[in-house]
Amino acid sequence: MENEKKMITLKSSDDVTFEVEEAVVLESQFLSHLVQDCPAPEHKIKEVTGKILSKVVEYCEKHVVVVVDGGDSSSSSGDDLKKWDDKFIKEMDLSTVYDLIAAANYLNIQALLDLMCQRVADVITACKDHKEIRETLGIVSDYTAEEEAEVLKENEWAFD
Amino acid sequence: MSSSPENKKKKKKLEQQNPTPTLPDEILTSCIAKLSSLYYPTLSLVSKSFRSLLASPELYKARSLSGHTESCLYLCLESSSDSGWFTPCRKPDKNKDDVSKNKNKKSYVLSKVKTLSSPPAVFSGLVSVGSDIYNIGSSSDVSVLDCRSHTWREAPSVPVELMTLSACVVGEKVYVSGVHGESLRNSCAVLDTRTQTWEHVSCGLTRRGGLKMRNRREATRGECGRCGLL
Repeated sequence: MENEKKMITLKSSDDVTFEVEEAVVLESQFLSHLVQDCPAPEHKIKEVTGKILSKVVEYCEKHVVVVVDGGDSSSSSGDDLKKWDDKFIKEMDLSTVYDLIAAANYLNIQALLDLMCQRVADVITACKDHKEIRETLGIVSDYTAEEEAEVLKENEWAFD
Repeated sequence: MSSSPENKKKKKKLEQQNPTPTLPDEILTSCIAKLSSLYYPTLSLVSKSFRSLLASPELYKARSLSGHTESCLYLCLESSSDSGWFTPCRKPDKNKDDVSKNKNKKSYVLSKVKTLSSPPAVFSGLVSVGSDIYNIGSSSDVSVLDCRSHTWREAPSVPVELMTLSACVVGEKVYVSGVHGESLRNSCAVLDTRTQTWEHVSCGLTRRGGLKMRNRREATRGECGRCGLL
């Protein structure tokens, strides 16, 4: 029975290939439509690099296994999955997070997108003030000095 | 502490290394939707686009879609000329070295809700429904503070003129009771907040009935200052 598992090859923009089970591919709404509409054994994903696609595959493989195995002992595997997710995002630098957000958005993997948005939110909460948020997220303020002073004044109670 | 030219250099270097990959607004909205509104005053200082995003209806749609709702405390302080509204916000950490300490010790302060002049508030006429705070004034005028955008809007006035008015919420309906200005009899009216229509309830309350209503009001009073953000 096990040999019936259908394998699909995904090829990144820089021609790195990943052979994955069909169930893994189905985690992505975009890919599941693609696989249904065009039953080729190999699919090239031009918008995603090998580095990022490997992360996407890693995430989807983990989540498929847990969902399939889950069944009865779902609560403990749910906890494990949460721990795995935490570890998965913890060591990631922000530019990888951004790339993964773009990939998850393009491939339509909602859970991965949520996880990555959570990571950005965590990064924001770890910042000490608005200046550090700018620095960390690479945002250039478009406030003039006067405008910034004005906003600061609105919140003077909060910021002393 | 470091001299400004050095700082500038450092900043430039940082920008070059990191060619500012920006998130599309839609994604940024989903990220911010995961944050407590206690961070909003700090976020509003980041940039103009952050500020407008914080006031956008899309943010609140994203919040309710992801099931991230929270209760917020709103405090109204009355002075003779104006009423001021305040809500807590998280104080940014100033001491750079104290990150670990500050993580455990979070400090909150009340920040003034920035709205155009708030109508005078009578405390017995303040109730919250979802993310709206209804302010039913003694002149039967009804103003609504939308706690998402922090703006006031007008709602239909109470159809009867009531004295010593008090309001309470049951479900999504605002019950207002008081003494009818002309007949001096107890009277009440109900506002359906969904349809924004008033219905006059000729309750003909006896004194006892009036008390009952009052007790009920007291029971819900505890929630009046709170408001759930959707």
